[in-house]
Amino acid sequence: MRISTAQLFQQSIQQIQQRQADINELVEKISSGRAQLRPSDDPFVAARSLEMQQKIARTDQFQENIVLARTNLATQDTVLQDVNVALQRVRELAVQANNASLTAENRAQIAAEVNERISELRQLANTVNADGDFLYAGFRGDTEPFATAVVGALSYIAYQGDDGSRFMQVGDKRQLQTSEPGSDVFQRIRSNNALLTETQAANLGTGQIAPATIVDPTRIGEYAYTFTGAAARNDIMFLDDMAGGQDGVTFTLQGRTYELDVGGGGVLAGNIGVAIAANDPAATIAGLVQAQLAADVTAGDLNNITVTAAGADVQIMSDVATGTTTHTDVATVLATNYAITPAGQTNVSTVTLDGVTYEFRFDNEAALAGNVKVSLGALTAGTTDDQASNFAAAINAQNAGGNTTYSAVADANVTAVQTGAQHNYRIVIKAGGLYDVVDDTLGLNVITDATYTPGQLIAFNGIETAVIGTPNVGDSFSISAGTHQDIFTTVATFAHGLRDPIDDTVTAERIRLTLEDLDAAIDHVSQQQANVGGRLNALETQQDENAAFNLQLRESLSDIADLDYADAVARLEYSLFVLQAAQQSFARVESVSLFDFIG
Amino acid sequence: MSDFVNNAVTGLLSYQRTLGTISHNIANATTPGFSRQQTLLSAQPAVVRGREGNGVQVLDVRRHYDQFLTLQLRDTQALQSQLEAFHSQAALLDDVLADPQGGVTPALQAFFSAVQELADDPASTTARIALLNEGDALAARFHYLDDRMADQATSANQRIEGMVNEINALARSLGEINQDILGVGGSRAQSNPDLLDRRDQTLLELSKLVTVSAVEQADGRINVFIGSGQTLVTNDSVFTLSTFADAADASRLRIGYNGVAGSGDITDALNGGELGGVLQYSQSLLPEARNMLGRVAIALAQSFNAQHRDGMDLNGNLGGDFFSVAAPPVLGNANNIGAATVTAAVTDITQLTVQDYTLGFDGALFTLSAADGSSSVAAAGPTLTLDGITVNVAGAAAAGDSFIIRPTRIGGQTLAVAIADSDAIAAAVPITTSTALGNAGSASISTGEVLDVNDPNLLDTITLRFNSATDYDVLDPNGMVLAAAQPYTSGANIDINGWRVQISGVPQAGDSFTVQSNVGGISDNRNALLLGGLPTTGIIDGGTATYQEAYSSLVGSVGAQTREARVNADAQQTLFDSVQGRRESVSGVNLDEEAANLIRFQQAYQASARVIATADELFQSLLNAV
Repeated sequence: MRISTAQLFQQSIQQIQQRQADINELVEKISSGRAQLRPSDDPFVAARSLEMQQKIARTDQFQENIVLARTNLATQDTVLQDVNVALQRVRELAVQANNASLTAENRAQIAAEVNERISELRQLANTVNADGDFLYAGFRGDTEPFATAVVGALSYIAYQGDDGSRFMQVGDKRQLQTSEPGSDVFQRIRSNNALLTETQAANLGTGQIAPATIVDPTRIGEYAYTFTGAAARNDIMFLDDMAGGQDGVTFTLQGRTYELDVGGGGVLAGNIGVAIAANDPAATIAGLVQAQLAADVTAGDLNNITVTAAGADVQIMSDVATGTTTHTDVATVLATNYAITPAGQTNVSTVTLDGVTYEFRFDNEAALAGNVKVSLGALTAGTTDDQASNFAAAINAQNAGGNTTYSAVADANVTAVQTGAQHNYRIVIKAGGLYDVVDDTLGLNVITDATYTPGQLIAFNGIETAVIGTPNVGDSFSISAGTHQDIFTTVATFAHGLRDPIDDTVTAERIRLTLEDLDAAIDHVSQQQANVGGRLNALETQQDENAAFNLQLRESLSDIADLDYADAVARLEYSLFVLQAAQQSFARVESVSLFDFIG
Repeated sequence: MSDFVNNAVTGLLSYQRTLGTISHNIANATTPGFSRQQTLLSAQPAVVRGREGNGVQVLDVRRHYDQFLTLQLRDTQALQSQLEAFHSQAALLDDVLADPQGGVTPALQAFFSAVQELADDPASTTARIALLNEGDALAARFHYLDDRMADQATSANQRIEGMVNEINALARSLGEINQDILGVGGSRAQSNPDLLDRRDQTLLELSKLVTVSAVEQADGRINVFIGSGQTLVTNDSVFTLSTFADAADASRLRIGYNGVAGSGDITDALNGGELGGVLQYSQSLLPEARNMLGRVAIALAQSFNAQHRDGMDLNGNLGGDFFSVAAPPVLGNANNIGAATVTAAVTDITQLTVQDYTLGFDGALFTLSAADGSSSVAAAGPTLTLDGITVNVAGAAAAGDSFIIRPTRIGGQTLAVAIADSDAIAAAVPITTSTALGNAGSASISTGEVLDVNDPNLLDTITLRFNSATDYDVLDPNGMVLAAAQPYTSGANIDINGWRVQISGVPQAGDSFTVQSNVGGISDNRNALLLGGLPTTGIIDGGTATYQEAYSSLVGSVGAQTREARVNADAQQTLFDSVQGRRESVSGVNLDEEAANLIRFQQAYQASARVIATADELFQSLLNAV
């Protein structure tokens, strides 16, 4: 083929230029270390390596987060360790204090140290982290979480934070909790001795209740059965036993049924007889009932019951509001304000005594055949009535001339005091600046018509609390058995008991409960510490995982994006060689011209 | 004797001409487009039969050329320069995206690292200011890339204008060459080889700019046609091209043809040549790349804002927009006659494409369609929704009115941080949950999330109080029961007032949980953690692509198209080189060949001279003999 001279030049030059371009690119790659200089060199790798770079940078950030998280958790670990040490010291003091031979002075000294420990615990709970935020304030990092609150006569340590807990991103899909709210660390400690006070949400006034403290644990759950009633309604009759008969009057306390056994007539199986001589005076009956109950308590058959005679007369209440005492038949009927039913109805109330059925009927009605009618007076719809006297008259009439005698007993009462499980109480504000404390478990008043003074101590049944502010009439505040008690209350209650001892029994009981609560608190704090330790371990693992992941990413990125120097240098050598060859051959080819030979 | 002297003289004269041609060839050995010439010699036959001939004569000076190769060269030149122009433009964009430290990736990462650092310490002013700064830096990075692309759009327009001027100049040259050819008066095409070479070379240069077709007339003049057959040059008449702003989009250049019948838009008919390459680039790859970049910016702004608005800032206010990005521009066609105002908004970032859209009105229906025709929707208005954009028409449109909507074009350019006060960064979640201290059961409540930040009761204090282990009441801030005896399932969603919580475990009667406003929760980092999770969340392309993946696909797409352009351009270059080689092989000057010819014709010349000398000697011999 014919070649033009220009073409010859052109081709050689092109070859050389191409080689030079190759060399230039290789030099650029070698100096930058990148296998691809621009996306078009390998679009897939370009896109992929950007994503990998992003992942690497992201993982690097997680590693930084882990360092911060570790600092935070390490601080918590230290704080919890210190809290533990402080609580152990308080426990030692409690054991020391549990010694009857200690003088009041000794106890005051111990109380002084316990107070020191309370401040220490408070300082620990108010620890500030490296960023200047409170460690245990939940999300309210700028609020001192445990501050002293004063409610009138009471001062206590109140939690100002919230329940928020912080997480940190330590892995692509992994968030790790790095903070616990103070409420979880210092407050939510299981306790059988806790009280919970609540200002009712529906209250209209500004009254606020302070936390309640048990100052006398021997009175926990104290309540009294007081069997009283209006004489007109609640008169009761003890019938003399007829031969082989049973009067069947019973009352029940703590699951045991007592039956008044008048004149040795016999007691129903399973009942406990209270032996009463026929026609015995009322005072004797009261004494006998009291003696029987007291004996059962002593024998351990009945727990924590004290029976006191209130006056000479005994009256067994037939209005069974508490449900703890029952009277058979007569009492049940008489206690019920029943609705009047028209004639012919079958649900007429009847009472059976000594085999005689007494039927309550209006004047214009006749009793069923064989029954004795107890007159209820004229038929008036909606009438409710107490017909004890009519009933007595009916029985009298029935027995007139018979061999059965009876006697009506005058007013009397039995008071039984029981302690045990904590009851729920309510402070109810009444008109005239008064308040009641109601035992909600029994539906009985513990305090009635006391005068409300803001901040004044309200004490009942071994409990102390206070209400401040201006409550409206009808507002109420509840005090109930709690499930959790905070560390500060546990320790403060202990100190309080040491300072104001009631008696040795109470003090011993208080120390017993304090030890119980302290053990729970120490367990709780240890558990918290274990949690923190677990998180620190998890961080360690995550850090290793991140590092491994990053290493792998970096290797992959390097594989695809970094230059293979050996290869690149070899190619450079080769390109240089080819360039040289091209230049030499160019020079040779171009140096030969026919013109050289002309002439 | 005079015969052979005469013959020798014809030889001398002819070889002088031939040597002249050789010297012309040698002189033009490097002239582009030059075709080597050859002096055609022929023997002069004898006048009288049986006698020797009358020496040699010069028939013509011919150029060596191949009509077919010339044509092929022009065609390959047009395609080669188109591909090369496209490639060189694309390579500029490729270079812009080349630096892995200079793209959006590092800025995006730095920004989200700052989010993480905010999550690590949400109350820290330092972390907050750092986040604002990184936000600015990220926006600046988008601006930088978008600016580079905008620069390229501008320079592409300038190149187009320059090339149109060049085309006009070449067309004028061709007109003059036509006149010259006519002026030489040659009735035959080969009458003036240098003029024809110049004509072909000018045509080749024209082909380098744009594809043209040329028809040679019998007298050697040519008619040149451009576009879809518009006459550029005919005889000595030359028509020109001009540029003007697109009626639909003033930033886009169109090319007009100024013919006898007036002017018209021939942009879409033009192809090939550098002009074709630049047009292709400025109408496809470049806007597509800007749209892809803009889409990442809009996706970032909208999704980050949405999460940010669900949060609560340091002052206890609900979060506002963190980023701002301009609404999609709507360009009304300059020829619109109606009074309609069209606005557009991106309403669903997951559906957003990188397409531009056209809104047309036919008098009854509006039609919104993607530029590539992949989707369209027609409605009477006033609101049309397509591919995550919502277009609203206000006022009366006239039939034939049209609008261009570019949902993503200015995203990269207008992304900015919208908040100035670092306290306004919403790192917290507006609600917080708490467990009553007296709870006896083991149930716990989740930290809660916001479903509807616009719920007017979002921040109300709501208490969930259990009546038993299986049901609970919902109490309002005043302790009034809002909903009684709701059945309880451990871990089930409880949605009230625009928030969601889960309670799990075993509650006891009387247990209660409270959900309330988180005002004052300055250490809360929950929303920051959620914001920090965005870069690994699929948001774009129907929720399949993260920000980074969307940006990577921009880099990948530009890279792939540049690579393709390079491969095509290289292939075309090879083809062009081969055609060029063949043309050179026919028409190129080989100096050795010329040298050989020089020697050959020098010898022939010397021989002719020797004949004259011989004649002289003969004559002298004769004279001496006399």
